[in-house]
Amino acid sequence: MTTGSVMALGIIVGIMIAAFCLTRKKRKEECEYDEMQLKIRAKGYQIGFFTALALLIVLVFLYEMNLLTIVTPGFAAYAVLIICVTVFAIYCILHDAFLSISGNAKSYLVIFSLVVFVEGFVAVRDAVNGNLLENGQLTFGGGAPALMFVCFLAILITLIVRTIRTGKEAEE
Amino acid sequence: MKNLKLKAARAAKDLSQEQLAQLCHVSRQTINAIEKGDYNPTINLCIAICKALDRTLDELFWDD
Repeated sequence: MTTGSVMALGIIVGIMIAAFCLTRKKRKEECEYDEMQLKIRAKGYQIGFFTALALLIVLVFLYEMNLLTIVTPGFAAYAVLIICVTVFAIYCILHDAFLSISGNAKSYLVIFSLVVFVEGFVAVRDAVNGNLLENGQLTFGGGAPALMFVCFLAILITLIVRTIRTGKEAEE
Repeated sequence: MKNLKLKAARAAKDLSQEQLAQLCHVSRQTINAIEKGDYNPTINLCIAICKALDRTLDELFWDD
């Protein structure tokens, strides 16, 4: 390796480190939550955790009793995870702790709308093609898009309602 | 209990909730919650609000 290439490599690494530090600082500023929001988010984590716990207990009971044969255990565990995250997100949105201080609701609305559209499209396509069930059971491959669609739709609706209410409050 | 003193002090300074929130580095919803009496701020935030509105803690947060 020549001295020139070592220098060039050093400059590139230096630029990468500087860029990383700058974007990290910017991200930190963007994701700043105030004290009330942090308190609400802590409560949200707690509610999400207990939701997961309750759902897991119910799942174990249902599987032990052979009452839940249409869903595979793997997908059921995944569903519990997604549901508890959704519960956390909805709780935070309803209590104004989802967006950071300088957070923009519009960008989230666009992203969530896109996710809802894509997941909805895939879920409907799977349902039409008969790929929703495998051997009479809802698996990860068939059920994940439908579950994601429902959860993101719930989050999107909550965000829209909250944005409208926040706008009215600001006008007052 | 509503904090009408804070609301009055903010109005006297001709500040919106959003503007006061920016001065105190909190969200507008937090200022709104304090004014409505839905949230008890920490002493640090009380001091930040007092400084932004040129008032004392007693004037804004002390109930007789």
